[in-house]
Amino acid sequence: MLFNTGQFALFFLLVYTLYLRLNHRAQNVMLLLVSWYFYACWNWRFLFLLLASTVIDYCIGLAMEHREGHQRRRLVTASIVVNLGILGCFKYFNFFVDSANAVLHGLGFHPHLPVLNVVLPVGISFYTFQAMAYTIDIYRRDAAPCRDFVTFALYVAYFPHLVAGPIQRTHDLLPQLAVPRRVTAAMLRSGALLILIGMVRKVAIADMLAGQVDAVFSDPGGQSSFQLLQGLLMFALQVYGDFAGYTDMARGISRMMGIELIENFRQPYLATDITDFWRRWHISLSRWLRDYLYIPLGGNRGPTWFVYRNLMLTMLLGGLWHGASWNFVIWGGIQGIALAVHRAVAGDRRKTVPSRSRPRQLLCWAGTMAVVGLSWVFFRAHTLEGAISYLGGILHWHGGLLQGFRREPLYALVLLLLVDLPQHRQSRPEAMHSWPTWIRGVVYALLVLAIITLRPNVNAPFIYFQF
Amino acid sequence: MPRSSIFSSETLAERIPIPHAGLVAVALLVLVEFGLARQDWLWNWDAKGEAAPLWRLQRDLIDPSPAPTVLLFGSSRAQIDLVPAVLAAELGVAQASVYNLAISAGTPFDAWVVYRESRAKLRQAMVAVIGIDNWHVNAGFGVNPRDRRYADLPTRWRLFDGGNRLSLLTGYFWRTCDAQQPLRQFATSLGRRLPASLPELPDGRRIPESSHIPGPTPHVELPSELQLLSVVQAHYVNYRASDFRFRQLEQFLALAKADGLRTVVVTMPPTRPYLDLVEQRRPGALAWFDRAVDGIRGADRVWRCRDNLAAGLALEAYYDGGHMNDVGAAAFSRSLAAVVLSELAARP
Repeated sequence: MLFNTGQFALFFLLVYTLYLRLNHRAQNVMLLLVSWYFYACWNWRFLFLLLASTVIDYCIGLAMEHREGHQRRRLVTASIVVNLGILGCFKYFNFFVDSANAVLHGLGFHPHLPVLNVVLPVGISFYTFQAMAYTIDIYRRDAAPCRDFVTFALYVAYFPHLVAGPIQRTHDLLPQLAVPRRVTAAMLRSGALLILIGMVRKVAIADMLAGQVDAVFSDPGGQSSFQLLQGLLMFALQVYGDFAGYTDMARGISRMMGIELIENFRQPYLATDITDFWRRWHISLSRWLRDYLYIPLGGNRGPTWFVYRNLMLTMLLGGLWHGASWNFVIWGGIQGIALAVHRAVAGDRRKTVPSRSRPRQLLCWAGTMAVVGLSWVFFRAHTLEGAISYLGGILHWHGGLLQGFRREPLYALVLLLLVDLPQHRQSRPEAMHSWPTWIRGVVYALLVLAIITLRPNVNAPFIYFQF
Repeated sequence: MPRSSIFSSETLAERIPIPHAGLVAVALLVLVEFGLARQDWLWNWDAKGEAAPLWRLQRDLIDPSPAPTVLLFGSSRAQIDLVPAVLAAELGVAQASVYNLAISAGTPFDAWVVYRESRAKLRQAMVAVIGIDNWHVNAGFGVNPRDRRYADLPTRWRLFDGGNRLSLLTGYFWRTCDAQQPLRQFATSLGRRLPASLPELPDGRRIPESSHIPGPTPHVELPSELQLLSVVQAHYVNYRASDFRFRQLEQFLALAKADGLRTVVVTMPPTRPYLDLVEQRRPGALAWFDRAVDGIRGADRVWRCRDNLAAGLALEAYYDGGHMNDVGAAAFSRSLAAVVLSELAARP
């Protein structure tokens, strides 16, 4: 059940109508049941996996409350092992087996280690990370265990963020679920605007470009260099529109129920350096990796090479989080190297020099986008050979300068600027609210028309659902 | 409120003000709905677009031509593989009286619409031939702009199914949704009218320049298995065994028969390597198609041409997995002419 379908609209309408008529306790029970139903719509069998993860982390959270020292450590270790075990089994098992097979094959052995024939449960990377964050926070005494099972289960399964985040932290979401909510007119209005903006990003930008991107990446050998570059630009816009669109809709839906989800994107393509990019792109994952991986590894403390190692490890694992493939590891590696280089070059100036001249800003922005853009090739290509051949096709320039020019990326850019620039200037997603009524009315109508006219015939699934 | 009640009205206690900007937006959308989306010229704005080819056929072929003897319908395979000049020569009729009314991604619904819209003239023909494709007659491609343009309310309900029917019913009442593609063409052309139609070849076909391949195609230029696979995937992208296009086919056949035309259904033959891939990737799809063809009611003749071998053609007679070059098209048209002749002989 995708957010941008009539099926979901009907589902949410029913849920919301009921939600506004229930008291707090009944709201939580109802939200939990519909969240489980929402998840079961993809594959009801994996609901048991979600339930298992929920029950285990709930029990471990409670068990940690009155224990100290080694016992607490054992419990949090058990939670991490279970959650990573679920992830490893369903997401990474075949990847590691295939890699081991390849290595052994290279060494002259032919063991043919067996692979599992399982489908990747939707949203598994999101909810396992969220559940882990809960037990780690309790272990660190950053949060108190949740005694109410319904509230905790809802924290894990809350349908707006269940399948593709944003990954909520314990102190972000649990307290909101534990107390009665109030929905104001302002929340309704800004929630509806977020849903509209999310629909534009997803349907009118990402889905419109999806077919063109598929065509370019499925046959890079048959494209001119310009078409390959254009394909890359289209994918950059598609992946952003897709994921940011999902997040906007999730936040809008949730806000209309009086529950605030954390921001996940802040106009990342306006970043002027790679560190800035990662403060704006998939913010909830970046924060998770920072707090539960980078800082425990040592963070910025210790010798310089130690910091670079921490950066690389964090980004390599962040890449692997996205998918069980060497392409994602390489993508993470490129981000890690870029972050380390930026750290080495900019050093402490990152803190002391607040602003740069316009031309220099533009140059920095272009450089950042080049690194981000080229790394997307590894993110999108199905195989390593495919990614290398794609990049080779760009570097060995062939074909005319504008051979195969398409107008769709321009439409996408215009729409993106229409929704991103006001947000960037006012540093808030609902910046349009400050515009005069009639301008807002015209813009809303144009956005609805863009959704209607640019949407493809078939709804494309969200890219991040596969993670 | 009793303590036991699960109901409460405290979540949304505030009065909701009138959303003025929302009302402005709704007013503008209503203007588009009644001022633009219901205009007939909008559908012809891009004469090369998916909504316009039936209108174009009427303007360029049906209206200026003499009375027809043979009508050819179908998708791009019929458009490219059936040559009016060859058929006319074999049948001994004027080339201009053999109308190739097939269009790219054409369906039986298109055939029905073309026939219905120009019935007074087209009923003068003696034979109607319609080519159908094994990927469930383009059913997986979903609803196209011509369905949206021409289907009335009962047709939307009766001749479509599932999500297609729901989408068409929504579009019937909210025409802005139906006119999605022409509106996009109109908006993105910034008001400048888009170029007109496909030129007519001397042999009577109207096909894109890229599809006019003299042939025979050298073996090295034939599509690789990988290229064929991408075509198979595209054709069967939303595969489901649905017979809604067959229902439309029967409606077309019934209309033509009512006017006294002999009707011939031809299963257009792709290449054997293409079909091998279909059998590998979509087991059961061809068997379903065969059963659906067995069940066609109202056709005087069903000519099954499973693949190039059944049609007596070498792979070099094609330029891709399913379209013939000029050599193949001429040979296939001669074979079809023999079928048409036998139908003409059977005419009372």
